[in-house]
Amino acid sequence: MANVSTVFREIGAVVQAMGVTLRALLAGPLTVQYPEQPIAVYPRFRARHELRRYENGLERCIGCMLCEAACPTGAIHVEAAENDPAHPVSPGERYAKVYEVNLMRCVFCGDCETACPVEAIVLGHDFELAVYDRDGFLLTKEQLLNPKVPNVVVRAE
Amino acid sequence: MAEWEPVLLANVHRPNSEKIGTYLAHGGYQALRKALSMSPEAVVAEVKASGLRGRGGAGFPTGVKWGFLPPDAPVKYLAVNTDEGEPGTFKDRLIVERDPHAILEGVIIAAYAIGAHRAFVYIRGEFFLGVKRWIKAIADAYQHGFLGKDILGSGFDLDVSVHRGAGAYICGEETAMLESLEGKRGQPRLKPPYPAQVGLWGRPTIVQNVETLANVPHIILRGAAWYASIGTEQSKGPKIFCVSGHVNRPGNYELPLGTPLREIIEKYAGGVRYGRHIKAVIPGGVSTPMLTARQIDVPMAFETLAAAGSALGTGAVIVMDETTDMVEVARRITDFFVHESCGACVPCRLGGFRMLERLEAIARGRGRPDDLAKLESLARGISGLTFCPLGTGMCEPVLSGLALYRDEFVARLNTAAKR
Amino acid sequence: MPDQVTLTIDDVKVTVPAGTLVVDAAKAAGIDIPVFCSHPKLDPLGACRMCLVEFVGSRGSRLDTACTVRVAEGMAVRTNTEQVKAVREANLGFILINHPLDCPICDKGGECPLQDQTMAYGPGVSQFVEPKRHKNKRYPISDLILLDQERCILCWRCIRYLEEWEDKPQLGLFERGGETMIDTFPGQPVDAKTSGSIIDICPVGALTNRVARFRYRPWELKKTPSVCNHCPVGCNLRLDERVHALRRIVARENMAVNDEWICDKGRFVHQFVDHPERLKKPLVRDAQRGTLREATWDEALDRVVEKLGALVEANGPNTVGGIASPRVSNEAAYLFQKFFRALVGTNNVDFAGGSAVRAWPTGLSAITDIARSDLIVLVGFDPSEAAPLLAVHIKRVVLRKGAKLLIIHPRRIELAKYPGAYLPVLPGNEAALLGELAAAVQASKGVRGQEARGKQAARNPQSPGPGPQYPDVVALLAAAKSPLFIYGPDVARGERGRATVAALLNLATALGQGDKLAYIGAGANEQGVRDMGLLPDTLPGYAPVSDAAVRERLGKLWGLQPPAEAGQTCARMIGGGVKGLFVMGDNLAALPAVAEALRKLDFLVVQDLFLTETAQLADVVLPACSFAEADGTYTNLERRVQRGPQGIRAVGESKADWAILTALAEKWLAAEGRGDRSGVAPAAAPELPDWKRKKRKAKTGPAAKPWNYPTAQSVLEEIGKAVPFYATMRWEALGEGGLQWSARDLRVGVRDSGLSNTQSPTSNPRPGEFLLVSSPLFWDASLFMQYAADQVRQLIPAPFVALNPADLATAKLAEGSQMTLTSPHGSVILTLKADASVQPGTVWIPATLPGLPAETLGGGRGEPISVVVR
Repeated sequence: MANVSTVFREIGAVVQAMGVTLRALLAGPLTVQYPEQPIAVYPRFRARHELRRYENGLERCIGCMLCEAACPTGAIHVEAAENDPAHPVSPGERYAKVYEVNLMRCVFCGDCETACPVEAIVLGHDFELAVYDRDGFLLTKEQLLNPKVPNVVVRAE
Repeated sequence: MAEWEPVLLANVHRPNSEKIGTYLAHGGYQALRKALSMSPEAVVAEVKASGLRGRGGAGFPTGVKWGFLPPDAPVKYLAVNTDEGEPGTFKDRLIVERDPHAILEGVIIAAYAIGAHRAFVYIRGEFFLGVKRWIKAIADAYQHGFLGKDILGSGFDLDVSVHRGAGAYICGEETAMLESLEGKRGQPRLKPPYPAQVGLWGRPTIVQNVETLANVPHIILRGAAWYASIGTEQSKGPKIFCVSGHVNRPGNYELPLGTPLREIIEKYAGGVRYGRHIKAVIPGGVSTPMLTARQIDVPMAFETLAAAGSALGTGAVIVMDETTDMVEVARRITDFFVHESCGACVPCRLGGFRMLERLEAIARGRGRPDDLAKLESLARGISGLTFCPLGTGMCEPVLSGLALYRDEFVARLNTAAKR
Repeated sequence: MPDQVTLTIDDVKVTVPAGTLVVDAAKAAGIDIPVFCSHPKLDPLGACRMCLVEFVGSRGSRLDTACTVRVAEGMAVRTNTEQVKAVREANLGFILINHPLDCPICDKGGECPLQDQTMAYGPGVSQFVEPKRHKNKRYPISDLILLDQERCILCWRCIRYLEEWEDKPQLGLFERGGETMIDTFPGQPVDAKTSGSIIDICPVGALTNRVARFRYRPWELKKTPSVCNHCPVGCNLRLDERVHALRRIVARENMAVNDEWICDKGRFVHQFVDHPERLKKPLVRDAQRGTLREATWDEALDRVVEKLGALVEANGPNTVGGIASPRVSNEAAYLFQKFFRALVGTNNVDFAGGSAVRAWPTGLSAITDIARSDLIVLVGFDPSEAAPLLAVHIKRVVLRKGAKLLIIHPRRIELAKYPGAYLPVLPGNEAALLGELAAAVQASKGVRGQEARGKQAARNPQSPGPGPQYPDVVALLAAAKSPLFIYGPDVARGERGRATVAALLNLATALGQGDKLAYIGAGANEQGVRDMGLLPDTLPGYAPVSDAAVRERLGKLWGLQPPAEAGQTCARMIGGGVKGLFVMGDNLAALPAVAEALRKLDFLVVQDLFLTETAQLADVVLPACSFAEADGTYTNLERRVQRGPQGIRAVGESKADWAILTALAEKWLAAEGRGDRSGVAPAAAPELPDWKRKKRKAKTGPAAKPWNYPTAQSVLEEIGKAVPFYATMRWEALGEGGLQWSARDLRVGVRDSGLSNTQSPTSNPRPGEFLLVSSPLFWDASLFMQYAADQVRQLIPAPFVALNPADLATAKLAEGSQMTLTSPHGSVILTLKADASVQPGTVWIPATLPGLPAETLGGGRGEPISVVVR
């Protein structure tokens, strides 16, 4: 009789295995139709850099170049200049006249965020970084200030 | 001790005491005649022998200071410090306004002794009457031949001029006074070199307090031995004590050095008002540490007060009775010093107003629990570490207040904590 | 007092000279005592209380400031006790109470003593929560310096620098207590010529350089030690570069030259180095259109070789010449004269203010001699305007050591306020006055008294009589034990200048101080350019061109000997003496009259940084490098040869002067078909123009040796062979402090010292006429100033003429009115200014004002110019 019980046991195993298949059949597809559908990322995901502004429109960046100093790959280049007191670009006396990030060098370590004393540079969630020529990897200040997706709020001010 | 017959204040109550006629009528300028008949060295020796110590606060032996002047210097100056600004002190003002010739005679003798042909009087700008009296006295002295060329036929020349300060307490410090006399911002100079070596415009200069100089004619006239017989072992001569505060008869009292503080307060100043009890006494102007009621038997002399943990200073006795709020005392005095800090060195300039902020908070009942520790740490970071003694003086009321009356400060903090 | 004192600091025994401050003794022992107010170059103050240390004595220990206490034998100091540590923490806490901590935007951040000391000795946490005090930020104390009163920690270094070194107490403490701040006096901005030094010594970022502000962070700068290119003092400075741009210039210590100060020109005027208008490519004049167009280096150099060669071929070598600038490096100057002497075959080399000026070839004996002298005689030289660092040194010796100044100048210059004597002299009368002084000195000394008296009696009766200070001046001169006699180019030009210098030498010799005569030129490397023989009558090393032995020696070195006859001077070359001219680094055509003359040239090459007025006239323009972009050595007024290494990448395709000359010489040699062809494209050979082919066949005999200079250092090596006293000057040997060549190595005979004054003295001008004085002004409109940053350029004054107020009143002229000034040489319209420093009867129009008014009227020619003011 040992054979009969073995047969039942094996049928049971088959049914059990088919159950997994059946459940998967009913569960629907897992594939995300990227790029038609957006992909959610974790809140602390680090992708393309963004420069933020204050609510009154002034740039946060004061051109202190600490991000440049902190950058392990030399991907950031900043040139500071003096604010015109009548038309300031940023609060205080100093602003970044040039702010460039070379994405080909960047390793997305986030050290620039850490170094920034005014939380001006943050790594955003925009990971779609492909461009058609190499020049496109050099993000200018204009591009950094106007990210495709809105700025990540690190801390409400 | 027998009743003291005033010497320095002998003239001040006479009518028209400031006039040269009054002064001459009561034996004025006799000491000058005598001094001019002596050699300058003899005058210095006489003053040295008298044991006279400076009355401006530091108590440096006057004759010794005069001896520091380099004898071969071609130009020497005498500067008279009439910048009496220490709160609680009003002795110099009285002499200047009521008996200017007494000082002037001392000035001429001192200048003769040290060989200065130019003396500068630096007077506190607010002493409007004092300025007038000084100028009039000097003009009269010129007329009578006590000043100018060939004084009393002795061949000694001296010119004196009066300069008004602009209201800075720090200019009472001798080197700051010299800076101010030179027309610069009044702030202390680096010592050494001391003014006796490098003073006004780089020349050897003796700076003397008004009261000190007022003593000089009496020493010359009556002799060093007479003078040295007054007072204690290390503190000779009479001293004007300015008694103020919660006493029945505040005022200037001239008494020999070594008179006990209790005697000054109770016998001369008429005791504490309304029969209250003494809580604390500041014995020598606000930059000296406070004494408690238990300490008031101390004799008022340089050495005894130093032993009691305070200082004779200018002899300005401020009496506080039991109703006095010691937090407010500390705040008021600190406020004065912070206002008067010249701003030259770091601890006094920056530590001072933080200390005041804390004291104000405590006085208003908004003190935080760690404020007393913070105050003490601030005061320790200032006291003794500043360029001039002002910073140290600033901390005395706080440090001695905290040491003697800590519970009062703590009580203020507690009410803050309850809120 | 023993000379050496031994004391113990933290158990370390250290022996230092008596009088040393404890803080310096600790430094010698390798122990760091933090300081803010103390500075080794400033008097002790003791205000910051940071350096409090424990002095252990028999009566226990006491705290005192290490920066004010001088060492004593057996002194014991402790800097590492708990008490000292607590005091430092408390003090730093106090300092930081009101310090704004805006380090991220502060220029000092990264090189800030306050940051460093807070990290090293600070309390770590703040015990204060109260708000900080607010004062002025971005507060201008001058056009060049901003003050941030919040950052200021009131160490008074700036106040003390201006008082102790500049003797211009233009900053002070205002208010008192916690409100104390540093400020200028109302309406009186800081205008000391070395005011920028206070930026360097500020221990925080309170004083910032308006030109360099926010252009750098200290940690990312590449720092190159260099030398200043503005005046002949040769101050040591540091070029700070970031991403191929010169970000700022700061002073570098060299106790023999500039101590550690530099003037404001050296510090703030550097934008010309990376100015957008810099020439980036060679330009050649387009044959068809007649305009300049960009070209390759090959094309431009070929054009120069072809055109200059054709002129030489057609008219002989004497029809071409070269005029250089006294700013260029020794290497450039040497190769420039070598190009003309060895390759072209002419001595036609000079520079403006070169052969026209009778310069004393050994310069100042040493700058440090100023500090050792007790009398400084300044003849026609105004250090405050021409060489501010010398003025700083002179003021120091006057203030600290009681030295006297004897000033002979047509204008009451700034230094005339110091003890000594000021002798006003009409321009052109210097020689007469000096002659009289020399005679009077001799008479007073009894040396050749008879003769001197005779001379004095025979004095031209027209010459202005000696002033009332005359006996005092003689006494001053006679009493001087170590005098210095300094004269400038203004009194040394032309024939009159020869007489003046001779008279000055007579005076110095009469006092037995003939070796203390010094000439201080105008160009930054004037001494070096003269050493290199960039003069028509002088070979490298001051040998006259007639010296056959030297010519032979040079011939062996160069392959060809220089010609024996003297070449044409700068003025003659401009005035039509040549048909082809090579101008290196000088903007001669800024003066319209010269421009007119240059237009007549057949061929003009200009090698410069910018498309100057001269370059616009040129047929070929070669873009050169500034001093910051090329290696080079420069010789300052005390014969100190100093390195000026490349600090930044050359702008565009510009090349160093010496490299351009080397490339040109290679092409020249290749064109002649001889010499080493390496480095020159062989392809050039078949395209040789006809004149060269002919020449190749024709020429025989000695040949020029190839020019093989891969680096500036290799040029210097050859200079060592050509100029005997440069033999030891190797790039490595020069180090960062430079080397002085010994004046004793140059045995210049006083060739015409006996020259007596043959010039008739200037008579007092007729009413309505004035004598022109064109002594320099610090902020002028020289080329570098024109290409300076905006903040600096606004300091260039509008062209003006200054008259004595008395003259203004007599002539009924109003200050500020526009006047026409006419001289035999030209006419200009200028704004009138009253200036008491101007002598009656003279007008002062500083040299190199915009539009060159003084030069237009004929200033700087070495002769008195009479000017009519209408």
